[in-house]
Amino acid sequence: MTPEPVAAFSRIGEENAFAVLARATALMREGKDVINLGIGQPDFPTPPNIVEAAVKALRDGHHGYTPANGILPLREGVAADLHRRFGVSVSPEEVMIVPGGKVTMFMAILMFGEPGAEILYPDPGFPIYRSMIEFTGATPIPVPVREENGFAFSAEETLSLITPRTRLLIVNSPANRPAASRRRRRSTSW
Amino acid sequence: MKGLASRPRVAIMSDEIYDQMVYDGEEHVCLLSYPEIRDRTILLNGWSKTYAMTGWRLGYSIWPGKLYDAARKLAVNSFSCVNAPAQWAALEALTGPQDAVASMVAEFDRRRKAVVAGLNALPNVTCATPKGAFYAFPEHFEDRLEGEAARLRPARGCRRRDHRRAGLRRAWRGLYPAQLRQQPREHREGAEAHAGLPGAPQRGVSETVTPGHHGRGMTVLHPAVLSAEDDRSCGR
Repeated sequence: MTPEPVAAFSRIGEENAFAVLARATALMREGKDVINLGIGQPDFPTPPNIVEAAVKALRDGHHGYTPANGILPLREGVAADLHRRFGVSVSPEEVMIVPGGKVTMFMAILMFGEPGAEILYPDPGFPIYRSMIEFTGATPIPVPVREENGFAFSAEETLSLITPRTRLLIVNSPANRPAASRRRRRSTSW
Repeated sequence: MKGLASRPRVAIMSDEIYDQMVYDGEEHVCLLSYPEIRDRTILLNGWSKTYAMTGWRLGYSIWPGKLYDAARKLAVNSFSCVNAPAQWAALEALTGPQDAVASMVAEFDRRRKAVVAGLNALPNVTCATPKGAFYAFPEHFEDRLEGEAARLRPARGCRRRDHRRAGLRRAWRGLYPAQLRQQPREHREGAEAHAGLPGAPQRGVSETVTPGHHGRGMTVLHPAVLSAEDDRSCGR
């Protein structure tokens, strides 16, 4: 008999969109035309200059481990990009290169989630936020995202949900699902 | 910000993965721009959506103070580092020409308008125009699907109406405006008929076959109908 994993695995969720993707892939293999409205990914190919850079890196022998936090030129590149686009000052020493977007939420929720802690997350929103919060044993506290607010969350309502047990607030803008964007004039009223 | 600044024990994780996908002249605001919360703000971002690189698995985060070392240790204890050639590709993405980003966002903008107009043309269905990312959020669309397709498992067991609505995420990256323009009637009929394909769909997956696309049925997959007993899946 296969051993049971620990109880936390009875609380972890997943992303429905991957089930849709699997089904779409199977149908396409059967030769069906499929418009997949499930998983959120662009249907464009990666721009060729980026593909070429990866090919060149392989040819140039970049086959080994890199530093765990990522190669320095890339961390410098991220800092420069954030400065160019938003005027924010970020040190390459604050930048961590990770495999995908989810890893950051995985790490952040692990850092602040434990039984007794509360974590606020946008609802409705990306499913993995709540899944990971429950995995850690923390209490997920939904912050309602309302259509009447233009699919934005209300600063007052968010603040009213913060208690002495709150350890982490997750915000997402522009968002998966309602896809409101945070306007400068709105967010400065926080 | 003042309200958050006075609660220093609360960390903030800002997921800005769609930061370049804003429309109608909207301007994205990075939460790192607020010095009063800079010491507790974690930024989540990456290359997947902006540069069409979802399969490359490339993201980055900004960690304040001692959180950085905690994150680095998690990396050492799990994935060690990101795929080396992918990191060099990521550098090219940031430092090379950005025209591809602009043209992809322009295309998403065109599709956004087409999908929202198409949804709003359906009787009783309303859909607000999203200002960012690539998801639409129609109202009453799932009611039509549920009502007219008895074999689908309705999501009525979900406790909250907004969860039920959210079960109907619509991404428009796969929709082509030309098809919507040329075949609105067929799309509408397809959605109304909501004929399923042979074989039971996976839980949480429903299918719409629309006639007339290249002479074959065209399948539209969406996570519309969620299992009632699995509350975790509500609204996801």
